[in-house]
Amino acid sequence: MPPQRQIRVGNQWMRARDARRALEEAIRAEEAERAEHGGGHKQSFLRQYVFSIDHKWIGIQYAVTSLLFLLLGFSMMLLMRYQLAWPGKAFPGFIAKFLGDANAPGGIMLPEFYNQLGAMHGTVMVFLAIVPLAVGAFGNYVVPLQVGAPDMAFPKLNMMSYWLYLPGGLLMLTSFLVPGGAPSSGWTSYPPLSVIAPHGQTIWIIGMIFLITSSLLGSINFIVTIFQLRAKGLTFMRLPFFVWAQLITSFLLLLAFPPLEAAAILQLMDRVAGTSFFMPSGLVVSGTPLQNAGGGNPLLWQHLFWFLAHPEVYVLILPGMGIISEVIANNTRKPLWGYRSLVGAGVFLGFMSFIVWAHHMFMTGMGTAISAFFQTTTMIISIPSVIILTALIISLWGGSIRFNVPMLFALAFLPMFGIGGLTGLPLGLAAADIHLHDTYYVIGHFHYVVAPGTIFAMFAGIYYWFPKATGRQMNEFWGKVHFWASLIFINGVFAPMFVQGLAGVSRRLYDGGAQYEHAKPIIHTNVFMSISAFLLLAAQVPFIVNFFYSIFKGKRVGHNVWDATTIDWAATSSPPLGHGNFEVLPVVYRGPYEYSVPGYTAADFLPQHVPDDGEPTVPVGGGMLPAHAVAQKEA
Amino acid sequence: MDDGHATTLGAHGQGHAHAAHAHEIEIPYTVHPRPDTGVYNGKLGIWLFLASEVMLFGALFSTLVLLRTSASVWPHGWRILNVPLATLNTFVLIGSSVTVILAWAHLRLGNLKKAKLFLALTLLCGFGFMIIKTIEYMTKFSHHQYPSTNNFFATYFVLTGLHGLHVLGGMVVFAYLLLTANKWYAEKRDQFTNRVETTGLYWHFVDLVWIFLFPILYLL
Amino acid sequence: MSDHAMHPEQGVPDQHAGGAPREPLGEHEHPTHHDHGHDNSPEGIRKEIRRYLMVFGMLAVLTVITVAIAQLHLPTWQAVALALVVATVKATLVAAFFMHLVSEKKLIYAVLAITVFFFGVLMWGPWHHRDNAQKAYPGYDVNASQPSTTATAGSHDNQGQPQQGH
Repeated sequence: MPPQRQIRVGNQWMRARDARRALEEAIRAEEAERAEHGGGHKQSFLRQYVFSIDHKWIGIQYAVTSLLFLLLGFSMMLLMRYQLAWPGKAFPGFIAKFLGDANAPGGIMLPEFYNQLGAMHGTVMVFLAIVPLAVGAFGNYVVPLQVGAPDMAFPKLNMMSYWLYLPGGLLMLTSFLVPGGAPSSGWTSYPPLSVIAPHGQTIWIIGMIFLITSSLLGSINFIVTIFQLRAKGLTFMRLPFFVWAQLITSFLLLLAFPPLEAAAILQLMDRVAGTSFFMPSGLVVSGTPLQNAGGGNPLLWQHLFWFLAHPEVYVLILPGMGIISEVIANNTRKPLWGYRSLVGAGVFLGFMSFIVWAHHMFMTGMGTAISAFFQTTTMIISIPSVIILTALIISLWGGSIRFNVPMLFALAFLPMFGIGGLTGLPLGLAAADIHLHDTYYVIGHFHYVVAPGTIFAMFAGIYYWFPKATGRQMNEFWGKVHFWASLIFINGVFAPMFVQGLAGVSRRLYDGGAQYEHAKPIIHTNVFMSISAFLLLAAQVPFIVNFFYSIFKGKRVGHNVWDATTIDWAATSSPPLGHGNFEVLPVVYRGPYEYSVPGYTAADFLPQHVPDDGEPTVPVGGGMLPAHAVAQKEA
Repeated sequence: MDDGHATTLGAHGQGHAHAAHAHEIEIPYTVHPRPDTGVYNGKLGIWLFLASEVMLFGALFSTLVLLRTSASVWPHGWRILNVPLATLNTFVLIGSSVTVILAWAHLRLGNLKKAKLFLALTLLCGFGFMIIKTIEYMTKFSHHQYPSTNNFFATYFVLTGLHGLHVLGGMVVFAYLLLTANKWYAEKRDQFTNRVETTGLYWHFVDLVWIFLFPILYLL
Repeated sequence: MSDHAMHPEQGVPDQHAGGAPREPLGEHEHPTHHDHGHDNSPEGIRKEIRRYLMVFGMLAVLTVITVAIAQLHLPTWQAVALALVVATVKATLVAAFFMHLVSEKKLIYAVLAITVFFFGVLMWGPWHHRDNAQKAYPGYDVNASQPSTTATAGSHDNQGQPQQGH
């Protein structure tokens, strides 16, 4: 907001000091009213905070849990980066002590432990951190608010979804404690290696079955909520793009995850019941022939795994694109460019994502015909991604951009995702993939999509919706420090990977490639990357402090701090848990991004639920004040 | 408008006036269909669930096809599995599909007694199916035929085992419906009817899977 | 928000997607539960019951037929084709009448159509990979190495002796 003495509140102008005073008054009044209404029906602690069936609290549960997992996955990566930069160098004292002699005798990391960290970093990041954050947290918190629903369609399933996710995640972590350690066959768990691996892998599979069931329940819930609980007047073409993204994502989860569940069951059988679904005959392990029936097909696992895991890539990116769309429309103060193309591209992207999976398998000797097919579909799927990115970039054109923290992250997302996406094209072509397959180029490619892509989108979302969840805003200055530091160091981590990969350095090497002659000229970049990674950790400290500080001490703001149009901003801020979302279900009169509407002079935004004439059913909360506070002021 | 809050509260009473009762929030369309989609929440939910089940069993069928077509030797099911018992089980399961839909029909007719009878029959069929299945499994085990014996038995045990788990899950729900039938019927008749319908849809799907499993495993 | 001036290029209608109709789209105010696609009169329901019993009869007959066909021990691919045809007919009966898909809403059809398509893809992918690779590279067969004395690798006619007798 420009530093002016007069600010607009609702439809009137007043002095900033008066406005702030009125706001505090209004918030106090609201809290008093809540206490009065809510006091008599206090819920049990368990129902309110642990086994909550309120989508907002479940969203917060998901958010906090997945952010912790994100930090955990990040720490695993830091351990690996230390080893890669200085192979064989002992860890500093307390870390060495923490890792223990079993994993790092004398503080020097064992190759086996490196493999465990690699597998668990991928698993934790994909299945326990980013998907739950993107879908579980943002989807749960924002979707019902944006469609004007009182809650999710099946609140108890929603609770169950979280309570399958958390035990599943914790169970996976316990695998570090069993003999043989955590799974070490990579997050992809390719057999036969994963079938003959120690017990950690069994735990991984069981944890996976928990997670799959959890996301299944979640996705059914989202689809039903979006189809069935949309507010009156909220047609599909009036849905915020974020809701569209969540809808498409849910369909991907719904239809792509079950094959992995089946595959997980089959691998579990291979491990515990001695079947041979994925085990060919004649395997010799450590010099002894394997005693099993044989006749299985290890490539079958790859098919079933990637049938999930490719759509999963779009599960990772679509909600991020949704968040970015909201933030960009809001902060350019103009409608998204080409909303319909965005929606169309999103749907097409979701559809195509089911028929590209075997581009992960060009090196398996599938034959040229099938490779050509998947190469073609892979090239086709890049088109909708480009449409989405282009539409978002054109949306910036001619906008009077507000460079607040969410917007900075959103703006950084565009080129970062662009790099990640475009570097994927050579991987989708079988000929180029022969050289690049399983090199650091691949690591660089998908980390650009997911880390400065999706995770930046998640940060944008956290800074954007934080005032909605808590009633307070996160500190802008420290937010900007967090942003700029993260942007610089994250590129320091991932950009050199492309160079390493093109030079032919393979992924999953314990010593970063030191044993290979062809890697020698380039692996010195490992030190640079690792130092960048440690600085990236340091860059997260302002965020973590800001996050917790702002929950309790952040600047208090009104219901619609960003002057946004979608109806999530019509709900009260920091809504009491289990309160229902709206005093009255809102009615929607227009599309989601009616900013700077020609001919509408009262404000530069026209919320979805404000009728052309007459009072909205739900307070607008424009400017800093909830509408009823304005009314009180006038009286 | 000196109190916008109270005014809006009074104007539309969509069940949120008592918003402090968190657990009593009314979710729209839990019982009656939403006009533009034409379905109630539970029905869309169960169909989506069945869609995911199609993909789950689809992956297993895909596994079976791949393993079988690339195996040099694949035994005929009818040589080593018990076809008469499986045929009997087919009749039991098809029968239970009929009883569950009759239960639903009688609920709509307002005849709770008959509806409960048919629900009980369905549950009984479920029991029957599981008992026959257990006999089958026990015979196999006594012949030292385990999932690890070869890929034929591996697919047989996994497919029928997972299907059996689905039968078991359905039985739990039927038992619950049966035990709470009187209360639900008295208090929320429409919702109870819907529950029987959605559970029925699930049960028919379990039947449908068996319709494919039976010839593929036993008869080919 | 220093002023509310509009930007000239924002007059382009396309940018205000979904903004054209200004009043909420009409929805029925009073949904009724007679909207199942079923005739809910007692007469209609009794008719339905008779139909269900008929379907049950047909399913029973088809079960007998499929078992009878199996007794003929036809060559594998014929047996597979016939068994699948009968099973598909049975499944269609169950889905159409028991799951009342004959009179279901478009939304359900749409969900099922997507699912059926991806089911097809899932069935096709792994098998096609193997088949394709086998044609491309003679001798490619990662898993046909099950020990066997009666059949040669790559033969799929299942005429070999079963490994496990009864």
